[in-house]
Amino acid sequence: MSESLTLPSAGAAVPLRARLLPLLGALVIAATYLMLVLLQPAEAAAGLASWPAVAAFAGYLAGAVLLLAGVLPQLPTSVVALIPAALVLNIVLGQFVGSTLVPLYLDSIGTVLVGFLAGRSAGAATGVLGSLVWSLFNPTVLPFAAGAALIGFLAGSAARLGALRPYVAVVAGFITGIVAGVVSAPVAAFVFGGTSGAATGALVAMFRAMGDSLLASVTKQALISDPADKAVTFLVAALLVMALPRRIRLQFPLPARAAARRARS
Amino acid sequence: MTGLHPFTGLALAASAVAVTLAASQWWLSLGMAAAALVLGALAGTARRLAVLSAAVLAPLWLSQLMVHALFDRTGSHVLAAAGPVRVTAEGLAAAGGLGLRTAAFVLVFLLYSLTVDRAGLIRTLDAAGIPAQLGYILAAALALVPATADRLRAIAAAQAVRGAGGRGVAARLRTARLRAVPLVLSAVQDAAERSVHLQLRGFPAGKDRTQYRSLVFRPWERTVSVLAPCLAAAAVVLLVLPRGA
Repeated sequence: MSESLTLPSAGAAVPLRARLLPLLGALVIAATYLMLVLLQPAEAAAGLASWPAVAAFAGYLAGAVLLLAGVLPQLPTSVVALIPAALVLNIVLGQFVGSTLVPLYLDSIGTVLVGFLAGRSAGAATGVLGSLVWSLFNPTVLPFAAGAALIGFLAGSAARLGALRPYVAVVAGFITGIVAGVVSAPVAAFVFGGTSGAATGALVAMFRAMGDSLLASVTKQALISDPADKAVTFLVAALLVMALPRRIRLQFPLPARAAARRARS
Repeated sequence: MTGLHPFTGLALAASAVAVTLAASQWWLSLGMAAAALVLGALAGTARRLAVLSAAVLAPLWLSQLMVHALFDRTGSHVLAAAGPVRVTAEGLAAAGGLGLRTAAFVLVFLLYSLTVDRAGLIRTLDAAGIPAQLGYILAAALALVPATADRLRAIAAAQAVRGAGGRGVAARLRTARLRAVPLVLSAVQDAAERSVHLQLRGFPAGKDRTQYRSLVFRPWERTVSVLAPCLAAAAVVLLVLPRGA
């Protein structure tokens, strides 16, 4: 019998490259973070040091691209078709929420949605791709690609652990916000010398006035802003997944796997 | 950068940003920002470049001013002080340096984004052996942004006819829900239908398929695309090592 052109061959093994590259990407991101936190020079307190800026930019972006290179070729077509829609939802809903005076960003709903529907690899890839596409309109999001990948990865991991129930989604989002905020803080501190918004900048300035270093101030600000934002994002994404018609939901890997498990038990 | 191969423009933009970040000198940042504005004017995109970069940079500059200039504890040349506010010459210099460095970064990348042939970039990524999924996602996302914004406007108009809206936090949240839920559901449904069509056409096909568009990658552009990042990497190492070590 000839091989199907449209269906993946049964039992096809994941190539070694697809396992190694994401692992390498995660290691590069973790090493960059540790290096920046442990070796930050005294001049970094003023935000003008050059090597932390270069290391944060290059290390995080390289890690995110390695992750994408390993994950992207393995994604099923149903997920590849969903990712552009998710990226556009990030942009359109982010701008729309910004215009309603709700004090949240909610610019990663699409990324979390893909993580919930298609798993952590697809979520991480969506985070990186979202930063790449958005950087065509706003280049300052480019160095935050690793943080966006982490949000998608953690959303997929949370979905496996049952985060599609609203109260679990809030807790998972809160924890994701803490992790993503801590990991993204060195980029905000060393590449941009603070934050990208006036309100968050005021918080960082307040911590600086209390005597904290720049990285400590940005990290504390992120720990105030990000958990609440991600808790609401996860809750909204979980409610949207629940609102999807079953026929559509079951076309994506995680809900299909959960339905199969329920049918077996 | 109009007329350049997409990879040549990308190599030049990335090299310029890397050197500017590594040098972290106000005069170099100012020079790069000015060069980007001049090139934007020559390419006929000065107005769009200025508007887009102003929208990105205004909140960033405000934030940098607050973080570095208004509450500086370390500077010795105090210009003004009142309560917790302490404006120093050193703080203002740090905020100005960071502001210029960020402006150079934003202007150079936005210039590339505004002048690059986006369809050409996607074709180039495809031809370079990068997984076809990346080209599809970039192309689909860029096409879907205006379509989804139009759909959101249509949903908002339909909900307004139904009487949605009003003042207060609860009414705003209800309005947001009434607009966001149909938008997301229709986007996911469209994606599910699109994936069936993609699978029926054997997506992602192999590398050796017919292409209807070809881009010329001139020999001098190939040289520049390799040479510029290599020189920039060497410059970054030379600039960063003496200070980082």
